[in-house]
Amino acid sequence: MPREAVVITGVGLVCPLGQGADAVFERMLDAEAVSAAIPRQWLGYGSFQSVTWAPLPRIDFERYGLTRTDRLRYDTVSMMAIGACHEALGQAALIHGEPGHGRSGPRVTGVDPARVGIYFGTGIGGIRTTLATHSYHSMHAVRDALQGVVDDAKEPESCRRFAEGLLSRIRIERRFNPLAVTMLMSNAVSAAPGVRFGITGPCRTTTLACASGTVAVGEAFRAVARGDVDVALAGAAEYLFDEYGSIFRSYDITGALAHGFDDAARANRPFDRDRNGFLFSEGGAAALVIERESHARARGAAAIAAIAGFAETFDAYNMIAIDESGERVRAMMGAALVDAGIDGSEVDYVNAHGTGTIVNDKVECESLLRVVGERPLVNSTKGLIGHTIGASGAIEAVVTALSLRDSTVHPCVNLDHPMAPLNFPSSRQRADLEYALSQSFAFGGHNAGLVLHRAT
Amino acid sequence: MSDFNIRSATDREIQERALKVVAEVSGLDRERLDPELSIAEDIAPNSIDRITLFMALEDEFGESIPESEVRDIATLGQLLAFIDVRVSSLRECST
Repeated sequence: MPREAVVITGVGLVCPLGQGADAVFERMLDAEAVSAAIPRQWLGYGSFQSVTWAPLPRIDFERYGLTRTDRLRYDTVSMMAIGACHEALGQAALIHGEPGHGRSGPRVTGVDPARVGIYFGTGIGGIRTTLATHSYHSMHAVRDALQGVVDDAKEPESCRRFAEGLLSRIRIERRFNPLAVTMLMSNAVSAAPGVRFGITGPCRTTTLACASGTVAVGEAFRAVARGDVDVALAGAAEYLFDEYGSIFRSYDITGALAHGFDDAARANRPFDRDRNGFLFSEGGAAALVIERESHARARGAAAIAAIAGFAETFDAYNMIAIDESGERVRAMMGAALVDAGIDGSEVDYVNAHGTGTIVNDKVECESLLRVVGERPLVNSTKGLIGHTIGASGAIEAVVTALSLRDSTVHPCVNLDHPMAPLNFPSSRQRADLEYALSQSFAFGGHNAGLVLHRAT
Repeated sequence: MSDFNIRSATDREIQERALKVVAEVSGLDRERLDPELSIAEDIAPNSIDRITLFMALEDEFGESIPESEVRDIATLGQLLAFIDVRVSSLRECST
């Protein structure tokens, strides 16, 4: 049975290139990219192969009506999720009330809240809260004892200096966080926007590492198409900073991060011959409002783009490495195209997974050549903002939607020696884009892809 | 974390800071903050609100507030009186 068209009517974005989907997209079109040295404080806790990352700018949470009170209740990952949702709902004209706080804040409007579903993804959830809580719990007594030595004038000077040195390495909060559980739990990225905006339909969190966002959007698409909900608020969020750099080190020790580049700006180079890993990102969040085209038309909402298909497969191969045969990747791509009712020759643009790792890029290029050929434009948003892990698929879905809306794609950067004869743009490029594929592959072996269509 | 010096601030400054925090957490306008308001019904109607209120006060004044010391505080007036007593005690300790 033909499926009614499903459209995107609002988007929101927070990422290393800033806040606001349109503003960030314009920076991407101008090939702005983020890379910097990792925080100096991390260097004291271990040795790192990679010393480069893509940090977030200072985020203006007050733009979304979030205050100090909210900072006490939500991990940064949930704050960013709320921010992206606020922007998306605003663009879709589904929000009422001035940015506020407490019980007077903005609420979803124009639709029965019980017919709105939240489908959000995250790779690790409130990991910063988890680590900060553990640090306090395990180290506060040690800190107090060391402080006692420093404060005791009867202690030998050498002891006091030694204690002072140890104290400087203990970075913990001033109290045990009584709200730790509600902040660190993975479902907070969905529950927090639900509470904030008064949404009472299904509220789900998808946790599939780098494929979290793509699958969350895909599940939202299917839920809307089935009629489970009238409107879906889909997306993903991730926040990966911790005081000691242990999250960064966990990825670094796998050898997956870009390393060895004297110039930080040259490290992030997906699909380039000299790539050697991905650029770790501090994080980000993206949200999309998704509804049936008839529902959008009835309430006068304009479509940014349409979602035409979705598919997912699993490698069942290895917990970290992608199956080099690419068989399940191609199966996912093929299934997504079938779901969209098109074949590979009709794809005009691919927003690739494009991490910049040696094997991932190889498998992806080979698969793209076999499934969609050399014609479509291919780029990597991760090449500009680094890899935001669980948020990446949703951020890339937003970028793909805006690319279709504007018939323009952002360039690939640092692509001095392309590793495959794919159509990589070297500057912003206008093109007649009807269908686009946005795909993600994840640690564990999850592969997922969305087919988007230009709005009619 | 605030760098406000609780020991040298005036009583009025301290009260205004406390009321600012209460307004922020409760969502109530400053003008509506009457001493008779109930913490449980008007200002912090659920456990998360109550925890947030006292965490925000701790951060505003840079002082810990053990739960045992505020367990029986039921009205805004009692909360302000508690802060008043606490500040007096801190000032005595530093003289």
